[in-house]
Amino acid sequence: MGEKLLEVKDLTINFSGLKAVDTLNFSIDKGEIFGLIGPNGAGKTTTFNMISGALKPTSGEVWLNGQRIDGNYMYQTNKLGIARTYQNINLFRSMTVLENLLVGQHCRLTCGLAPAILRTPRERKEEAAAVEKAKETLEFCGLHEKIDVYSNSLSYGEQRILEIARALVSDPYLIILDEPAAGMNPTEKNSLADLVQRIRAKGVTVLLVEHDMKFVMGITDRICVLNYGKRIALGTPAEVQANPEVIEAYLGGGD
Amino acid sequence: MKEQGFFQSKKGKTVIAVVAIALAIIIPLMMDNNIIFTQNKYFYVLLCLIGIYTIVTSGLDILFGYTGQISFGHAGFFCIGAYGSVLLSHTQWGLGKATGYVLTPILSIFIAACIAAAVGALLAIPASKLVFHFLSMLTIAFNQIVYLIANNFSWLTNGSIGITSVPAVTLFGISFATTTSKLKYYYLVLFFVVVFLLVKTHIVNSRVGRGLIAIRENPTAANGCGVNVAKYKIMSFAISAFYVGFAGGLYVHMIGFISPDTFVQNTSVIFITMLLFGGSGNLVGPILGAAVITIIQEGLQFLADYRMLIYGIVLLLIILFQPQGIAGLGNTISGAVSKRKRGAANG
Repeated sequence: MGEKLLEVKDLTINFSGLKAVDTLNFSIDKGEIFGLIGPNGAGKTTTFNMISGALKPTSGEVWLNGQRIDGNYMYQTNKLGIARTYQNINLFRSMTVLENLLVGQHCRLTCGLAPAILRTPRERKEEAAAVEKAKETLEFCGLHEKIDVYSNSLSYGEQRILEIARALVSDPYLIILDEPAAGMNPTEKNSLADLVQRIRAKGVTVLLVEHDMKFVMGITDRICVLNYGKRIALGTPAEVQANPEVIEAYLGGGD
Repeated sequence: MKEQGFFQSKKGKTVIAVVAIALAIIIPLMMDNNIIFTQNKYFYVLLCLIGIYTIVTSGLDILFGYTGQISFGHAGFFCIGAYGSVLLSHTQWGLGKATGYVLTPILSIFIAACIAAAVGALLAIPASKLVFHFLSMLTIAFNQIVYLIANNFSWLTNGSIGITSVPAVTLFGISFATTTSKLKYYYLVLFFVVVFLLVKTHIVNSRVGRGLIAIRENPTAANGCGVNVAKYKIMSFAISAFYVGFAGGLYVHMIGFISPDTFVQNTSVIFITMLLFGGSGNLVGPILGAAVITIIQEGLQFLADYRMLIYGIVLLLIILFQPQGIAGLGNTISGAVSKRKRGAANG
């Protein structure tokens, strides 16, 4: 396929002796929908956390667009073009949907304290543009009718979509979705799958963790399978499904 | 949904603000001819105090109400602003004693507030890593340190005796000496209250303010959205300290005398009480809290140290029954009414 967007090289992290992720290697091409799967505790979210900057790896490297990004803080990684959602929803609960999306653009806006206090024309212009951008993104994600609703009064599925919208509004190269379909009903899952496809069509690369196999197999281009922190398979959904090691990891081997 | 009544709209809020400012200008003028208030001008002192504490509480609100960081040491910043301004403007102490040159009081207040902000930023560097209860202890310790310095560094502060004849504020040739006209000083304070409240509104409704609120709501997500959490906490501490430091300066040039006793830890507790009582995380709460608690405090002078007991009880009741403070009373009442209506409809 095309150019490499993200490269993960020998990524390893130790939690007091336990190797949660062990010399993991994979790379994601631009415009790909890439899945990371594995049984519970396989190290998927830990991998996400190292890529997004929430955790520092013990060793190994993460490269984005030819720039090394491991060891950055999350806010720096966000500015470089990686936005993410969370397994346990992390919204700004007493803010409205619009305000959540304005915070989502934080790294793309530039006005600091002085322009804010003085309400300079540049600041007003930037704020107005940010509101427009938020509205466009909400329209894209199908949440525009809820723009003035407080995020804690959205339904569970809507909260998941709002997290995606909040990540998307920062114009990332790569969006990382941590179990986006968790807790959704089949209808919501279908529209989520559609949304993920449309996000890719916009030119944003997608990396996702998901437990719903039907969902993952249906939308991803390639999948990396983890077990006990190690990569046990990498390939197209069909290849991965046929891999005996993967079947053993999921169903348990009979020796 | 957000309510969209006239008074919730931007226009409505502006109208309310203009009316409130107009009343704050006119009412004391009318009182000037009133026999009760002309006897001693204590009424104006009370108004000045309310204004000064409004600035304090609003500053504390930026830290506590918006950023979600607690401080039980803001009397320390009040102290730095007050002593700082005295030492920069007094002819016999501090700068005046050392060099013979002094700063004019408004400039000294401003610089002292900047010093308070710098100290606030320094304090926030370790504090930004701490969670709620450890932060409480750190800020209490900070307050204690500042108090002890004011009390024990006699060569600088004259110790517990304090410093008298603090110079009056003079601006563009107009003297704001409280010995001659307390009304004038009230208008000076009012001017700064309006400026500080306006600045606060601008800050909390900007990219920076959203970053602060995001930290209060969810630090992890804020970080993921590109908010440099440590930097923003430091900024919040510094802004908050600037407000409180400036108020400290206004306070001391009104009273004309300074001693360490004003800046004990109890004062920090009173600041927090004002904020919680009025309601945090909005514009009006700190004003209400400052006004009501100041009036209660003056009304309860005769109780001396037992006042702290009253504050304790007030604080407890507010936290238990009205966590949004009296600014949120409208919501609570309308909530209760609609609940009753619903109950009646169902029954």
